[in-house]
Amino acid sequence: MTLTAYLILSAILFTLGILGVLLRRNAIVILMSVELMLNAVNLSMVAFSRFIPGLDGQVMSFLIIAIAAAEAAVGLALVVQIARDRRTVDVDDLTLLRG
Amino acid sequence: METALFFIMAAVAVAAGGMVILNRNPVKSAFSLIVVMLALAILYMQLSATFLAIIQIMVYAGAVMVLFLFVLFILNVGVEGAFSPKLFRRIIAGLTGTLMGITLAAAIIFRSGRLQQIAAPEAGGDFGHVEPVGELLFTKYLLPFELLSVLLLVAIIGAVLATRPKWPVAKLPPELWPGDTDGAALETGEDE
Repeated sequence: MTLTAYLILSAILFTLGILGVLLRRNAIVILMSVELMLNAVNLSMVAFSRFIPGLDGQVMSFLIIAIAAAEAAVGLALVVQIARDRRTVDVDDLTLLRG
Repeated sequence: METALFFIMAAVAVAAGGMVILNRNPVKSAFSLIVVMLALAILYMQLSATFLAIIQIMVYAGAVMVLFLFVLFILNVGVEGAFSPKLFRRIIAGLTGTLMGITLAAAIIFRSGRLQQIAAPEAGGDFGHVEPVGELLFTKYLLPFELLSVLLLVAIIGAVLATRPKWPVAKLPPELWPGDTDGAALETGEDE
């Protein structure tokens, strides 16, 4: 397969992630969409590391996976705390900071 | 064979990715996301990133998604209200996202002439195995690696502190309260 095909697939997955963040109201699904975007970036990194030989892209993907895990842990902890406090995980209802 | 596998996995990943954002039930979204990650792991195998594929399955499908499902189950998130009730808002959000996607695709397609010239060299030997990847991680990328360990520590502490309840959830019964210097309560507990 060509590099372009992998990059197009990566772009499609990234777009789906963006659409998820913009369209969904559930905070947990928004976090999942962010994970989807990170996965799309990982795919393009790995594809580049295969086509332009060098393992740097793969190492970068490892770092991204670890950062994604940390992000999910902290994000979900915040969601749990918000759900406990406000009885909702709907981002449309969390308007405390709106001017 | 390779081409067919790529298209099958790409179709699976895109379909499951669509299910992530279209499913009204967050639990089904989470399972769709697991399918995306497994499909991507197979693509990583095909790109001869063997170790990364295993890590993808273990860390993403195994750990991160279990955490997501765990939180979904404790919060008992409902199905209703997945999308905004205002049609205008949905249209604007959808258009913005699609526009960004078109921009990305255009950037790739306009460059595709150059990108096509990059042909994959024969992946021989241990490309993508544990040893070369680990060697690079511990030499050239040692500083990011160590910073990452600090980040993970901060994330652990932050997650624990953020979810800490203001009072103990499981209260001890009064007879087991501390401060009982002679430990009489514990002794009666043992007798019974």
